[in-house]
Amino acid sequence: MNIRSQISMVFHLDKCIGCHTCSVACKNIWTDRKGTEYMWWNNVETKPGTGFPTRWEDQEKYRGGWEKDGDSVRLKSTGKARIIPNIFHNPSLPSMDDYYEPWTYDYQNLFNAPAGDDQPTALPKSMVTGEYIDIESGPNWDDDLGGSSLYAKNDPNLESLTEEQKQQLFEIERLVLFYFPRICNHCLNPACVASCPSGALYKRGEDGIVLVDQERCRGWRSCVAACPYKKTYYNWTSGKSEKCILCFPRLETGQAPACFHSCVGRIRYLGVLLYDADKIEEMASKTDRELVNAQREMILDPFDPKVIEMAKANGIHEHTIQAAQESPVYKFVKVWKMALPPHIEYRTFPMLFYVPPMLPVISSLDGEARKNMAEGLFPEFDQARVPIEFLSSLFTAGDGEKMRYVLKKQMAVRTWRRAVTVGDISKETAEKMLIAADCTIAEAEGIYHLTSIATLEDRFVIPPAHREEAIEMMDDPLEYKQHAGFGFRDKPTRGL
Amino acid sequence: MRIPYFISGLIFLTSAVGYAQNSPEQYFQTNCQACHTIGGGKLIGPDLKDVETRQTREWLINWITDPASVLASGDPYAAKILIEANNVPMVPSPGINAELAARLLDYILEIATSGTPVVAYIPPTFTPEDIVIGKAIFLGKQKLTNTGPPCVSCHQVNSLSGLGGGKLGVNLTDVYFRLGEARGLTNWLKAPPTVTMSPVFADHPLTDEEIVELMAFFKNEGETTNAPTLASVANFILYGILGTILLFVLIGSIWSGRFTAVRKPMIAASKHTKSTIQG
Repeated sequence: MNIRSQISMVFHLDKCIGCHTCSVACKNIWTDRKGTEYMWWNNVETKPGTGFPTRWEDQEKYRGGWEKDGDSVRLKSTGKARIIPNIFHNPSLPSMDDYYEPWTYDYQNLFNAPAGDDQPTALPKSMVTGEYIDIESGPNWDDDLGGSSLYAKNDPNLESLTEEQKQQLFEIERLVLFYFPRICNHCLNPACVASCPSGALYKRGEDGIVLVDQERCRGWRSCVAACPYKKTYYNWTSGKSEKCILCFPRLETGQAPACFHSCVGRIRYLGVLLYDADKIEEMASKTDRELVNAQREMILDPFDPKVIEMAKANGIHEHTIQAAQESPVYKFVKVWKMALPPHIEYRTFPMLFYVPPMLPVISSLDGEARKNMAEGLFPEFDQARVPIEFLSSLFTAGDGEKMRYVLKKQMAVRTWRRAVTVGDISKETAEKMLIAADCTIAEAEGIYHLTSIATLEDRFVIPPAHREEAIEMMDDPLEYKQHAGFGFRDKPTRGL
Repeated sequence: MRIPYFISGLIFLTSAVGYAQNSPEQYFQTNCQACHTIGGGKLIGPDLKDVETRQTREWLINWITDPASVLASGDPYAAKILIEANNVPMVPSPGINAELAARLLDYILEIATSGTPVVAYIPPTFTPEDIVIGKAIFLGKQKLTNTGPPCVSCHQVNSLSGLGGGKLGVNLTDVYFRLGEARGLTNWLKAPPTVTMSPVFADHPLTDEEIVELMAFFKNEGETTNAPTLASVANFILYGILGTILLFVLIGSIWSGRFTAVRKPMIAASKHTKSTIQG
């Protein structure tokens, strides 16, 4: 066993209101420099939708991630034969149009325009060329199904649906959407790191954050092609690639990353997971349907004395182990099995997990009376407006059973809490539902607590980085012990 | 094309060591005899019978080991013999060093003083068939008996149309007259002494018949064609341009659709389907 620690994340999609506060917080801190205007290290997509860049999930085009190769995996984007003809221009990279041409507005015109018959306007101006442009698309152009007949219809996940399901999905009264906020997944088996010809990308040993060394990056853009989530970006001014750094300067000082901290819906959870790095290759080369369980198997129990002993032997600090024991991510992913990785079939083992959204209650107005379309609180899964197949395509490599398990558990917990607080459902019925959903009352209370009334400290369990100890590896802190102290800014002169 | 040169380079590197260990007699036969005789009269280069009366041994050793530098230094005697040799410069000898050069001079002195009788040279007669076979050999249509590479892979003659022959070696149109007609060329072809050709043909020598046939062809070439024709030059350019266009068309068709956008085609496709529904 080769135990490592990883700062991991859970996004609770049922709580996301799609306000883009996370994106703006990130943009203001990290990507408002020249050359980074088009980058959204954090972005919020509407699903169904094509996302950012357009149709990033279409790996036939973008060739991101890994593919199975016997008992191992190989990069889809590159290989000995592919690298030569594509070395100077990789055809699987997204073009600027597939992201969008970043723009600003000519605000000065509002103040400087000469007197005229009409109000002056601020025309959009390209931030790349400085010319006036017609805006054709943006990073969230299809927000709230803004372009459903075009963008939502071309969501690659719809391919798993039948024609009938697709038609129902776009009926005007059944139209449905949910939000899908995305940041770098800081994967266990990162394709971007593996693809870099300069060795500029690396996964930090102490917390698993994936970073691009700006000194070593030579702008090959292999990482942009290799990342199946398209979360590394090429800075066209510096000629280097950049990506989400999980706000490591904030983490090291005990603060949650900016997008987590600013989240209005409090959908984001952050905590440590311990995993066995020796198993990555074996687990990554399993079949698509086995991957979700394979990743869970790699994540280790931080209460197991043997795991603790091995972790300490591997240099993991006891405070980190303690954080792993309190980690909300561990509970969601491993104990409750409610959080699922996005597109696990790309085989990078993303360490950002999603609690899939509950299906909205369907009701309609029948004359004067409001009518629920289902008997109970929630509709049956098969009548759901978002088909199970769609969610499974996103989160379980098409395995509907795993998706049903998660949704059933969420539904049981809600029913249980309704029985407790409202009382219009009997506790016996609720308990039966819990048992059917592989859940106990204690577990249901735990899920309720972390979902609904969790505090900042519950949601973000950040291990102390112990930089003061790390520095001892390179410098002796006692070296200047007898040098520093009281002194003079100017040489003292005596007398007149 | 590259592989034979790579191999010949290897052969050269390994054989260079071997040359140095051979006896001066063998070395003379393989490397000098093509251009020089000892008491047999001038071939391409001068007769070496009284060579040490014309220059000092020191000068000669310098000349043998590095003729190019001596020529470049503007030595008047070296310039004189270059003109006498139809401007065919003394070729650098494979694996030569000062010690071997001294042994060669000893050998030349020994032969010159021993009075070995010189066999008179009888030039061969060329038939029209020889010219035809010689051309076939030159073009590689008829394989060489000892599996040497055909001349055309490195050499050109002006009468060839199309892309012509190889451009690595010299143009051989007037080689028959340049290298001392039948006698000089026979010697040359028996054991080509240049650094490039020697290792290639050392183990794959031409047979006597092949030499006669090739010489017939070269003689005919030298007599009939003098300068590259305008047509052959134009052809070369034309084939070059055509080949380039063909290459680009081929690359274009193999890699058509290599750079494809995602969003714009998606919008175009959806507009198309919409209009068909309405129409």
